Amino acid sequence: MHGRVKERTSEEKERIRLAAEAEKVKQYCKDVDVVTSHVQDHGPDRQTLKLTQTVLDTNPEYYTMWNLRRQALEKLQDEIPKSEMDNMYYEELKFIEHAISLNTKCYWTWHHRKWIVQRLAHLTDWQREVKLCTKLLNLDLRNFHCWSYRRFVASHANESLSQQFDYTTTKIEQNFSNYSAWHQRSALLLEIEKDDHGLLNALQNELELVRQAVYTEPNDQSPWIYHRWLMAQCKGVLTRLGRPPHELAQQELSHIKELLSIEPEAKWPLLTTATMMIDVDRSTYASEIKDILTTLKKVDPARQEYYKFLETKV
Amino acid sequence: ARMSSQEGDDDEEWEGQTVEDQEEVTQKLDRCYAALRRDASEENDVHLFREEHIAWLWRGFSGLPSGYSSLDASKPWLCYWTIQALDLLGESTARRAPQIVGFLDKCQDTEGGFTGGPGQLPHLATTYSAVLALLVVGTEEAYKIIDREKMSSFLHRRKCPNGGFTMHDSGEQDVRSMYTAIVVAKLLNLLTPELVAGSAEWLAQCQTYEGGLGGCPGNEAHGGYTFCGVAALVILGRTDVLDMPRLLRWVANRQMEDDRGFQGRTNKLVDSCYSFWQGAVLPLISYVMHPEPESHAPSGWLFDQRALQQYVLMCAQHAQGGLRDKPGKGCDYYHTCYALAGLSVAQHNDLVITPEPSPYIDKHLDGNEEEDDDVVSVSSSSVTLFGPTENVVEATHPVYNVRPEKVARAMRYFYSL
Repeated sequence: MHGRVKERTSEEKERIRLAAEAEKVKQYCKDVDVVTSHVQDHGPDRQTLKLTQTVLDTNPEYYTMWNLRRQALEKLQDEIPKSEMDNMYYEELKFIEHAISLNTKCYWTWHHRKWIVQRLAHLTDWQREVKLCTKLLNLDLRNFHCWSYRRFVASHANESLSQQFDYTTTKIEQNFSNYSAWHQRSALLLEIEKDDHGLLNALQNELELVRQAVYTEPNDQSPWIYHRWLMAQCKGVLTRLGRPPHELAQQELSHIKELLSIEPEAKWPLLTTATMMIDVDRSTYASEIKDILTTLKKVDPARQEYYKFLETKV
Repeated sequence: ARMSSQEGDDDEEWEGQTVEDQEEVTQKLDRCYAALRRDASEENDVHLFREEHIAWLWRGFSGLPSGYSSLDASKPWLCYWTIQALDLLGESTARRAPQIVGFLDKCQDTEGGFTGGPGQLPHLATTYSAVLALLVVGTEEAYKIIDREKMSSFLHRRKCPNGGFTMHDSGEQDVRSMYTAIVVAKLLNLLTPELVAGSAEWLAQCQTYEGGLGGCPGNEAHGGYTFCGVAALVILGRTDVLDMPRLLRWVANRQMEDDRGFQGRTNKLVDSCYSFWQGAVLPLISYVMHPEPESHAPSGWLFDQRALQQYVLMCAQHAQGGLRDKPGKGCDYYHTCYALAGLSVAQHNDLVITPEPSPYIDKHLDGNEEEDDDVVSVSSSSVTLFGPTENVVEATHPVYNVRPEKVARAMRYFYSL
C-alpha cells in the first residue's frame, strides 16, 4: 500500500489492549513480590521505602505497604542522625502530597500523613498543613478526610476557633450548599461561646445568616437542617437563662410564614414549620400541622410514609 | 461507608459540589426514566436483567482487568461482593465453593483475622468480608477454616481503651471498624462484654446534629457510617444511645425527590450503593421501634420503596450486565452488590431483622436443609414490587447483608460450639 497507514481491525486492537493490560498486571505483581522478598530477607529498611513507593504509585490502597514504610522509618530513626531523619520525613511528606493529589479519598494516605507530622512534631509546618487543606477544600468542598485532617492540624497550628469559624463563613458565603461548612460551624459555635448570653447572641446572628440563605434559595436543605439545630440550641439556652423556651420559635415561625406566602409549596419551610409546631405546642397547632402534613404528602411524595408517621405524633 | 475506599464519592473529582452538578445528574436521570416510559408502556416492561448480571458476575471469577489493582488489598471484598450478588439473584455458587474457601483460607493470618490478600496484614474490613463470604458459601467446610481462637485475639488486639477499634495494626479508627469487629464477633460467637466495653458510648459521639452518624466524632453524617453505627448498636442492643427521631428524619430525607435513589450525605449526588447503606437503616429503625417479629411494618418501611426500585432498575442497571453508581459511571462489583441489596430491602417487607441466632429463623431452616435456589417464594403482602414478579430478588438480612437462611445456618453452627 503506498503511504497508507495500515488500519487495525477491532479484534487486533482488543488483542493489543488485553496484552498491555496483562503486562501492567504482571509488572504490578512483580513489584509487590520484590517488596515481599526484600522485607523477608532484610527487614524494613531504606530500600523498602524505594520499593514500596513503586507499588503505592499504582495502588495507594495497599495498606500493608504503608505499614512497611512506617516500620522502615521507625527503624531508621534509631540508626541515622536526627537531621538526616528529619529530611526523610520531609521527603515522605512530599511523597504523600503527591499520592493525595492522585487520590484525594484514600484513608491510608491521610492516616500516614497524620503519623508523619506527629513524628516531626515541633518541626512540622502546621500552617502549611492548614494551607494544603484549604487548597484541597477549594477544589473539593466535601472531602471529609480533608476536613478531619484540617481539624487536627488547625488545632496544632494554633488557629483560633474564631479563625476556623471565619473560614466556615467564607465557605458558606461562597456557596450556601456547602454542607460540610455548616457542619463545622455547628461544632465550633458551641466551643467558642461558653457563656449562655454570648451563645444566645451568636445564635440570633446565625438565624439571620440562615434567613439570608433561605431567602436566596428556599429549597436548599443545608441551611434548613442547620436551622433545626439552631432552634434546639435556642431552646436549651433560653431554658437555662430562665426565659420562655419557645420565645425565639414564635418569631421564627412568623418569618417562615412570610417565606411561605411567596413559596407556598416549598418543602423545607413547610417541614420546618410542622416540626417546630409539634415541638412548641402540638395540641394548639394540631389542625395546622395536619394541613401542612397533607400538603407535604402532595409536594414531597417520596416521604409519604414518613409524613404518615409524623401524623401519628399529633 | 467507604468500606474499602470504593464508595461513591467519585462524582466530585477535582470540582466543588454545586447545585448545578445536581441539576446535570437529575437531567440525565430524567432521560432514563422518560426513555423507559417511551419504550415500556407499563411498569411490567421494566425488567431486572437477571441473566445478564449473573453472567457478568461469573466472568469475575476468571480474572479482572488492571484497573482493579486498586482492590488488590481487598480481595475478600471482591469475593463477597460477587457471591453475595449472585446469591441475591438466586444463583448458587456451590460449584466454586472449594475454590472460594481455599482462597479465603490463604488470606487468613496465622495470628488471626483475614488479610486483603495472601501475605498482607490482617484488617477488620477484609476480615468482615471474608467471614461474610464464607457465610454465603454456607457449608461446614467453609465455617471450619476460621480459626476462632486466633480471631478472638485479633479482635481484642484491635480494641482501644476509648471503646473504638483500629482497622488494622497502627491503622485508623472509625465507625467501620466498630461495625466490622462487632459483626464478626457476633456471627462467630465471640462477642463478650469485655470486647465491646465503651463501644456504644463511642458510637453515640458519632451522631451529628443532623441525626445521621459520621465516621468518627466530629465528622459530618454519612450514609455508610450511619448504617455501620446503627447496625452495630442493634447488635449490641444499645440503640438507646442514639436520638432515634433525629436519625429517622435524617435518613428519610436522604431519598431524593426527583432522582428517587438515596444520596450519602446532604447535598450530595445520588448513588446506587446508598440504596442499601441508607435504605437498610429504615428496617433497623422499625425494628428498634417494634422488636417483636410479628409487629414489623406489614405496610412497609418508612421510605418510598417503589421509587428506590425504580432508581435501581431504570438508572443503575447496565444492559450488558452489572450495576453502577449512576448513568455515566462504569459497573463494578461493589455497586452491583449494594444496589441489589438495596433493591432487596425495597422489595421485602417481611424481613428477619433480629441479630440473634433466633428460633424464628431456625423454624424456616429445619426441613429446608436443601436450599432451592430457583424458587423465590413470596406472598403478595410481604412484598412491595415495582415491575413484574420476575424482578423479585432474595431477601437479605439488614444487619449483616447476607441471606437470613445463611445467617441462621452459620449461627446455629457457631453457637453450638
